[in-house]
Amino acid sequence: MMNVLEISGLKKSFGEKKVLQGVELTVPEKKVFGFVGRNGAGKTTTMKVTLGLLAADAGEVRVCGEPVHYGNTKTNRFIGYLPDVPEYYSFMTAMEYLNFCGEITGLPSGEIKGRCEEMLRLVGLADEKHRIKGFSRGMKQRLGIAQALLGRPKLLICDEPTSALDPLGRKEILDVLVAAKEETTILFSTHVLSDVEHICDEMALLNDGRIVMQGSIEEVKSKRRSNAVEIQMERAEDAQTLAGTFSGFQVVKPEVLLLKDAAKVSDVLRFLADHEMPFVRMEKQEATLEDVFMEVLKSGSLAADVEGREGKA
Amino acid sequence: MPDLKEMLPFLIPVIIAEIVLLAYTLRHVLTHENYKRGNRVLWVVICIVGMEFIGPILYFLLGKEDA
Amino acid sequence: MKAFLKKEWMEMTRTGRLLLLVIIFAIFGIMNPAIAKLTPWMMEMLEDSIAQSGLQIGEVTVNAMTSWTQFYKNAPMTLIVIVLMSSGVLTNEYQRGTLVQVVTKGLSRKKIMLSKMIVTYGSWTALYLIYFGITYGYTAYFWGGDEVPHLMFGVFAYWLFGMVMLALLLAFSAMASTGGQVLMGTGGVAAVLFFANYVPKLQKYLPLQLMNGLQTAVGAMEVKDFYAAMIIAGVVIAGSGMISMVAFDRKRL
Repeated sequence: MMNVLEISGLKKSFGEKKVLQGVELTVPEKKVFGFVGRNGAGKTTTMKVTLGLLAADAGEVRVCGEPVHYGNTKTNRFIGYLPDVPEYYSFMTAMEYLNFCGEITGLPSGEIKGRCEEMLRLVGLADEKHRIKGFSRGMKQRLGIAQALLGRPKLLICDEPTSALDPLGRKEILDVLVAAKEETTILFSTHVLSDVEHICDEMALLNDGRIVMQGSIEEVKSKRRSNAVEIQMERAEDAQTLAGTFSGFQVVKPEVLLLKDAAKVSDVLRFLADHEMPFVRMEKQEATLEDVFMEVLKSGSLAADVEGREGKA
Repeated sequence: MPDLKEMLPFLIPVIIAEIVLLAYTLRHVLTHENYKRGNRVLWVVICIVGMEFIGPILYFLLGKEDA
Repeated sequence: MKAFLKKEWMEMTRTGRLLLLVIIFAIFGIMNPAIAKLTPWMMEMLEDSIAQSGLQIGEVTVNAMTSWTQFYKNAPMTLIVIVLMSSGVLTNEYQRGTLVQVVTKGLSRKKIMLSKMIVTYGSWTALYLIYFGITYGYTAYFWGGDEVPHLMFGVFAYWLFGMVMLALLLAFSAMASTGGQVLMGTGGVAAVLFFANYVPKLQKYLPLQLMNGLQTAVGAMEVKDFYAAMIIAGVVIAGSGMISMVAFDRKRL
């Protein structure tokens, strides 16, 4: 399988601030790739370097095998880009804008009109005859996807496409992205984890200018799932005893404990049976991405995660 | 005062041009809610006072919101 | 690139910028002969006060030259208007971020810059022609018989001066990020030129020389006095053009 995007050793600082400190990232073809990180982690910077809008200090970015240069870069013909806050020529209508985009992308002139109409239908703006001036945030975002997909790019880069939208608008955008998956590879950045869980196949977590984790959603989740068991006791004092007896318990609520090390479960069960301590439930914790991230972000880049990533690459 | 008739070739086009300019600018000022700077009253006054051409230029340069 | 030019045209017409400029330049054009025509009457009005100050004025004769004198007097205003209105030609797009989409769509930056040049130079040329054409029309109508020597040459020289200023404006636009900076840069260069103009030895070479079209008409200067400045102007336009292209290629959008 071909990698649409390969980033290696990418570094970038703005003055004193080191935003990217050696980003390594590969995005395989025909995937929806979630690019996750906190605000200011360097997501937008990485994307802008990929588009040739910012100069990298070190490292290399390849799109479909071709290197990206700052300034005028040819690789942009492979890419459709949706900026975080897309701005258009507001004196045009949506159709006129797409036409304009089609012409500068170099679509065959016979094809432009049909393709524009198709895109407008995809994003639900086909009947919109007004100028872009009066568009809402969500409409602009949808038009942004339409213009990004217009030239049938191999790679669609979306910078926080959902973060400024209300829940309905967010769902619309995600639906459009899922539909677009048929045609292209999508790299989209977000700090909203539920979006990633909904539509992404793979993801990478960027923290402090480094990729601290990369893999499929399942892989990432499984890193946590096997390790934690939650136990809810009937009585809080039993929970206390338990926490006092075994190491590795984390007190969530007075009667709820979290056991990080699943290997101890059998010992704990034996202990409970011997002391006739009733418990309400005991379950393997279904890790949300959130949990995984909280953990990763807290402990910095986990050695285990780094190994996991290298093993795959 | 020179013969008014002699001035007509100047007056008519100038007046037409001024009126078009003023009408266009005023319509723009009145149909827009937001301005880069200043407010509606300010811009209406500026356009009328500086109606020759300065007012409209100032408005389109400084007051008109980015489309 | 055709698409980008089409977009520029759409922008000019739909935002009303074109209408505004055409009307302003037309008014300027009409005012020149109108003021010439009004001169005797104004003199009459002022006669009393002038007489009190002890000056004697003879019969004022108004002719084509009076109208063309006005033409050169008002020409700087037209240039200021076009410079002001063009100051955002690129910076407005930087500030709104609209060029990001165009560049990431694969339109080469050279073509964007070239389009902006065509639009800027084109508007100045067209508007200046309107300004000149109207003054010319009226003047020919009222004082058709009068001969104005080297008229076209002087008018051309002024146009070239405008091109120099706009070339500088475009170069600053490729580097600066706000319209204010562009105006400061362009105005700064103009100010330096005006100071340099006090050095008699330099005068001949400065593009400011190109503003003196009237002097050839009244016979105070000869056409060949302009050649050096014209060559310099050409060099400045070409040089600024190259700087614009290079700077815009590296410009952060």
